[in-house]
Amino acid sequence: MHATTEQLLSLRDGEPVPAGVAAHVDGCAHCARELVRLGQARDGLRRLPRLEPPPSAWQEVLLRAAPSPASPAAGRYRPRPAVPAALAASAVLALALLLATGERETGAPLPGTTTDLVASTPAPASSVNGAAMPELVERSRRLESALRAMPAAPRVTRTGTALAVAELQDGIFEIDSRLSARDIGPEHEQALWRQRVDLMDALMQVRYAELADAR
Amino acid sequence: MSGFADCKPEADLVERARRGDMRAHETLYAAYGGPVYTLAMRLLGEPAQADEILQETCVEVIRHLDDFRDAAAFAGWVKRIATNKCLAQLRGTWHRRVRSLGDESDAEAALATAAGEADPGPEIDDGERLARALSFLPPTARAVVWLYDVEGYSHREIAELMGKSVSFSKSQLARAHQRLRDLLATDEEVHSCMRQPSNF
Repeated sequence: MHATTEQLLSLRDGEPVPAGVAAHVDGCAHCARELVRLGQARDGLRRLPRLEPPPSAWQEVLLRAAPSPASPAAGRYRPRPAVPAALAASAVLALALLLATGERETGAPLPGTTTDLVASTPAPASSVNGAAMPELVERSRRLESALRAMPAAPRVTRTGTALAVAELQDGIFEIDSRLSARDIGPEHEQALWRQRVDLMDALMQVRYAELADAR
Repeated sequence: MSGFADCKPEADLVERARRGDMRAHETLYAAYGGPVYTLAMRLLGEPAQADEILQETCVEVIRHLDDFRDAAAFAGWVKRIATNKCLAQLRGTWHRRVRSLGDESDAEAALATAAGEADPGPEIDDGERLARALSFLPPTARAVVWLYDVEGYSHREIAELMGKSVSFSKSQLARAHQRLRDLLATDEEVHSCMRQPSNF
């Protein structure tokens, strides 16, 4: 009877094993080979290369960490006095960098008005038509992250803008409800993710315009 | 290695970050960002989720560094924050839904398909095969093997992190290694077939 994988792992890691196990492994070519393989697997895992985060990650962190009066977390977070000011300054810089990156990536200028926002906004250069589901899920997540990182809405916003934002948010909520249903087929699910990305793209542009208007 | 072992910031740097110096925070991030992202990628397997874990971890470091005193234990502290977040993510419905896009029970077939679709030109190295096999493990087994074999957590610590028993951690580690062996054997078989000269 050969040693179990669990026993071999204990041997590999110098942990106690039942008396006969070590003796068996010493005299059994199969178990000895398996013991070596387990050691090699651990060494191989340790040698896997370090992975690097996206270059914009730190800017997004600064935006997210900056205390916002509209954020429900603001009440819980009581940093040292120097931290909020430093974070706010870093967040402004980070937002500028992110917006600049977004502009380069889409090749489209930031909208300057809130008139007829969604209808008049050109479609994003990187269309989601034909994108695979994992790509849509990731893009949706990134847009969500970027939206969350944007500063709170200005205190005075045009009614049309507020309505457009509310409609788009309602649409996203509706899609999320459908996505959480149990019995949706893969094609339907992919279509829903595509719609979600489209709506979030539109919401992103409305929010840009809202901020530009408030300047 | 995810690289936490190399993350040993000077006490002065941690102190400056604690006082709110964002440049010091950025320097710290340069040391721990890669290890956190690597850990999250190896455990969750999705770049978007790894990015989310990285950001959440960084925000927590910025917000709670003031409560942290032992600069020598900084890397371990950050690693634990990131690990807890990854494990919470694994337990979450979001991960279950995204993972359900592929059938975990058929990982060998998926690996074979992935190997078959790979560009047959350049040979892929053992590291790539191992990384791919790791990504096809069931999430819990993958987390245990990475945390134990690479990050150096003990079975007792893993049991505490996961809210399970020590024997659960041990059996998951054994399961992970058995699956890795099978997956790598499947991968090797597929690549051997692809290396055979075709008579057609």
